[in-house]
Amino acid sequence: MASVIKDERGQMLVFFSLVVATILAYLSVLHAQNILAGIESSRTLMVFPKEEIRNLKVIGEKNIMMFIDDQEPDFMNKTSKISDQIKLLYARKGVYGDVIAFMKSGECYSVNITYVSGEVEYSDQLYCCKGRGCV
Amino acid sequence: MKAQAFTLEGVMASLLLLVVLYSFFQSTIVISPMWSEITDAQLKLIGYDTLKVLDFYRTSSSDVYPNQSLQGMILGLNDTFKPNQDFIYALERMIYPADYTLELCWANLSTNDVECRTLVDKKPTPEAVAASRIIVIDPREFNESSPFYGLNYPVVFEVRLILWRP
Repeated sequence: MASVIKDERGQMLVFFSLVVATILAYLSVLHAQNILAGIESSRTLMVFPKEEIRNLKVIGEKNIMMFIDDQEPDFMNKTSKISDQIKLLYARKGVYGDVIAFMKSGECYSVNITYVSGEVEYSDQLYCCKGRGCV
Repeated sequence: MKAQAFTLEGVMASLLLLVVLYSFFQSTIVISPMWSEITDAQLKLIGYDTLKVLDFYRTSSSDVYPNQSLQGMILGLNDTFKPNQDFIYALERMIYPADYTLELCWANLSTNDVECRTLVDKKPTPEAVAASRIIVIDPREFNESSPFYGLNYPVVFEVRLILWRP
């Protein structure tokens, strides 16, 4: 090229414009990626059904406790009906949600809490006693 | 030849600037539909918080559900499915200045279907967000005027609050 083009300043201009433009392109991609990462992480946080799961835990802890004084067959029958209704209500949203008590001993019971959606799978087991809360 | 070099420089610079501009604006195109979700998230949270506050837990079976609570509202319903004024007042103060629609859904175990009634019916905007809360009511609590009177199992209700900015 040097033998053809006597003045090489143009080539330097092309070279430096290439360097500057590459840096600008890199920075703009970095900027775009940062924004996307921020948006995605905040979106993930927002769509996580924490309120729904807390709601199911409250039912397992406090609402089922309302029937703790019932005899075991009655208690199991009532909690089974609660479970059936919760499953139907959640199925309407395209989610499997369930709160089912599976063991009662005196003033204590065990309960399984399940929440399964396309994005989230959650399962928990609580052991609750009257006057002592749940663990 | 010098002119050709300048032309080549111009073409390359313009191409590179186009790449830079494309990369920069690409992010804006991806973000734009999501901004509505972010602004509405606050309203959705207000909805969840409001329902949580209105959900009343009894510490003993002798406690009476207040009219302002979700349980008090449901227990006070009759065939017209119109919520009591204390509940409406409390709800509207908590979600102010948002507008709302309130729905009540429950599962009918004899038909295995979910039935819903709109308690407060207004026309939502496309940006409306929904929050819901599930509550359980002992069948012995229902009085004779209630549409749920006579059921012999605990009734699970889903209260759906649809909110939007007027």
